[in-house]
Amino acid sequence: MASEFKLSVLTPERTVFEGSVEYVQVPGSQGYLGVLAHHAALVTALAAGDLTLRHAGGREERMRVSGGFFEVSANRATVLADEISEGTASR
Amino acid sequence: MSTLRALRRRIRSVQNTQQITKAMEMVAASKLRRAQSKALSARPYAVKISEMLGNLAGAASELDHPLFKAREVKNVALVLVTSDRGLCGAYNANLLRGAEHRLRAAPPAGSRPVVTSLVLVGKKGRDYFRRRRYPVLAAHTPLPTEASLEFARTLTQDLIARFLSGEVDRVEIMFTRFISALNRKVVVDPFLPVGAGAAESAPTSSIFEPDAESIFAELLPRYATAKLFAALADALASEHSARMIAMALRARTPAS
Repeated sequence: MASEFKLSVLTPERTVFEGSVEYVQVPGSQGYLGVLAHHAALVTALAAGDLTLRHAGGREERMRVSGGFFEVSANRATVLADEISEGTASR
Repeated sequence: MSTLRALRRRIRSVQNTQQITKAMEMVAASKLRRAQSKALSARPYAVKISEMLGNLAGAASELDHPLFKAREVKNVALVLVTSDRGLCGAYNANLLRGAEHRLRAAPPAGSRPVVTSLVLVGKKGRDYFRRRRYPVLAAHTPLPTEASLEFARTLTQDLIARFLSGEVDRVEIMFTRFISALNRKVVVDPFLPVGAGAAESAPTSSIFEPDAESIFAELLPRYATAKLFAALADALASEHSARMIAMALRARTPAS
């Protein structure tokens, strides 16, 4: 079983997601980047694009982000998105 | 001379008023619940972005973004958040009194005079200051019925433009902080330059992509927007709670 880490996806108005995931991929300003558990501390700006997260067990969820920031530190990842529109959950 | 007929009419009129105030109280209570949960759900983002700002300020030594730099203050903009509608007790009166007090405050002896101008949000503030001779930079009405990010963004952009052009050297927000359904308080928060209020934390060994300076430049306006949004959400929750209490008092006071 892949190890998990905590992810929060926040917008100025609400918490979109909060929980444990195996993997998250975000549209960084320098290109897409994927993060697994125990990633090194990182702060980056986000471009517009798709955010993909994989729950424990392999179920994937995809959302559209319009921009913002992504931070990883101490096995916690946070997405501060300007806006999020939830896409269809894909497998 | 009060005839039986007049008396009956009077009783009905008082009952009608009581029914209306009771209804308004209930409407305000339900709007308050919504506004309160809205203010609450904005908090995680606000906390996190302020934390990130602190991290960045600690990590990079030479962050001299114009939005971040305090400069000599000659002109101050005071953003005053009032409501569009009345019947909410002393809600607006407290804000207007607070603002006027601040506008009239004499500068400390020996210092250069500082000119404070108003940016009015909400109809009550606009109407009140339209008839007085204080400098007004802008008025933003109507207030959205629910805290709106769009509104916060537009207003933030407007204020940032005034700050960067040198029209004002400092921006403060006066609004009503929501404490509980029974308790609220008029406060003045620093708004621009950004950073007054954000705690600088110990440097972390994070990787910054592309680099701390450009993330910082992106972060500052968002931080300001989040702060203004939170102030608006608080103001709206406060307005509804003030109205609820005013109506509850009215409904329970025997009409004279």
